[in-house]
Amino acid sequence: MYGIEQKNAIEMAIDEINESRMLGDIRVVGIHMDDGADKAQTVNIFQRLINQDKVQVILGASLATLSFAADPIAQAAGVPVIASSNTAAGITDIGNYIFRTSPPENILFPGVLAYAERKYNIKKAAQLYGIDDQLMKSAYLIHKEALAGAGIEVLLSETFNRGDVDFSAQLTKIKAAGPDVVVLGALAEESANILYQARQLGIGDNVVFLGANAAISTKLFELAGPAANGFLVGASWYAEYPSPKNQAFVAAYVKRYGHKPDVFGAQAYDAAYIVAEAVRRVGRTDDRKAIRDAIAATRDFTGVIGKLSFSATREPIVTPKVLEARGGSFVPAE
Amino acid sequence: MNDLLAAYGNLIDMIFLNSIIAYSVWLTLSANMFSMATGGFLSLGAYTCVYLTMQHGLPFFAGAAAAALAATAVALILGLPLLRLRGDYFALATLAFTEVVRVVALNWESVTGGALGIFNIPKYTDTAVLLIVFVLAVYFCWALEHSPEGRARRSMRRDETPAAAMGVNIFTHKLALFAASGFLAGLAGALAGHLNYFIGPNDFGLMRTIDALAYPILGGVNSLAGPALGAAVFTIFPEFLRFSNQMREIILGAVFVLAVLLLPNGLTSFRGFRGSRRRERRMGVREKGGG
Repeated sequence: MYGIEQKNAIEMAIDEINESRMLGDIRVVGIHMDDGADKAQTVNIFQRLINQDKVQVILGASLATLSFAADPIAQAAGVPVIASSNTAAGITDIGNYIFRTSPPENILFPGVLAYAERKYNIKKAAQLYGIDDQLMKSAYLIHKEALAGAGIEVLLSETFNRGDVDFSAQLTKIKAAGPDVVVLGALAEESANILYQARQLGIGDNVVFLGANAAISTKLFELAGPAANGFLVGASWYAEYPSPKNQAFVAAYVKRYGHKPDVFGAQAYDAAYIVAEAVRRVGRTDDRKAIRDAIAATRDFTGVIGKLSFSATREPIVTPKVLEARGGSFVPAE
Repeated sequence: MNDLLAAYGNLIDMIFLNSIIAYSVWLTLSANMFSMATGGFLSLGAYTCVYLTMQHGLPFFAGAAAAALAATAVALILGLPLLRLRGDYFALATLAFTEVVRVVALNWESVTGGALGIFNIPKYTDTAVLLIVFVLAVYFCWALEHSPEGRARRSMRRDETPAAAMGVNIFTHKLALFAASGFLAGLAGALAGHLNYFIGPNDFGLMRTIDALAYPILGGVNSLAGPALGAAVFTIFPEFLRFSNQMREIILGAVFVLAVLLLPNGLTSFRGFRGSRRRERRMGVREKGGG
């Protein structure tokens, strides 16, 4: 689901790196394996990549729950891992070989909230989140903490389950409580349904909806239509981000694959280049420890998502961007 | 050789683990109980063991024993009312149990971590432990098959009414088997909990239950080797087909449909494995020796 765009972007990056000969005689060989979003299969793959294919670096896994199971193996074997779509808290705490280019929700959301506070008069909030989804539960806790930190009173917290399509019960309660802002811990499809049904139930434009990073998808607009307008999310990247590097990336990607990349593709593309850059600095490929140290030393790397450095805890330091849904796409919020 | 072992270590572990689960399912299937409680027992075992070892500092051995016993107790309590149901109704009721366990795991945050699951679980389960439990499980099933219980079960499987007329207490037999199935699944759950550093409520849901049912059905319910063979094939196949990427699930499904159509008694009924198929057809089901 989230994996294909990352695979595409990484393969494109590897071809570019090899063609440009930025690593001299070192050629990068990518091995892609599909884990079927299954924990046991992900662990199988990590073991095989490390012990049989003897890879220097692993880019992945696509889902945080898989990383929690598989990353300890790479950590124990001393193989650096860079994830580009894990946004749950605690991934890089697994060990000093685990990195990510996907900023977690706790880096992104405070910016979104601060923007909303500046623009609107926010005093009371409601939260609505997926209780059985690892990522969304994690997002909910981060949202809650950020709201408390901003002194915004949370009137009520409502929940739903994965696969739910009818949110009218929760939204009716939220409408009755009368919050200024509704914070969603929901994936794209659920967010779209919630936005659509909220407007149907007569929750007006004076109520602002804030969402999680994982809600970013073109699917949101297909399902919600104009009801998505005004929905605010935080992201490291958006397709129209006007840096020359990003424009070149998006153009090349569209040319090669026929559609625009998504945010996880962009983060995966940068992860591949960060590895290449680290290998270039080390100058050889037989020392995983040196490669790890070089990755950890990444400072102000210019990627398609902008400048990226790794913090002491191997989290990405990027400039979070606040995006607003407007007319069928996410645009920088003004 | 060491590299090869390291590269496929988890695969080998998963084969043993899934085989243990397969025998747990086999115990119910071989007595005409289509139980879908496996996921619930696995979950119960995993959370019980991880809770005891991580929160109360119990040794792994004690935690696993407690997990197996807890699942057995729940199976007994569950079996008392549910075993009065038959066929589809029993399947649905046991499926409901698996779902209830999943929802409890989602909401009982102080013990299960809720949707976030539990991470940084110490790895205690290794290949040796799995091998030992696997051998014990096979021995248990073998001994059962060659005891009077095995004979009673075979007669029940053919037709419960004449079996009851011959003096087999159907209900007691089923309850005991259901409890034994719970014991094995609970133990397997405890082993699974300490295998991969992380567990979450959705690890042991409907999908895991259906996979578990597929092991003995694919391998063959009428043979003691069936469950292990089915589990091994089912576990290795996705790795074997990895080159096909997204096509894999489709190929996997097609292969299983073919296997069920061509070998309705499971892989162990394949001519190469044992006697002629005609004899089998004449016998209806295969009678094991000692009966």
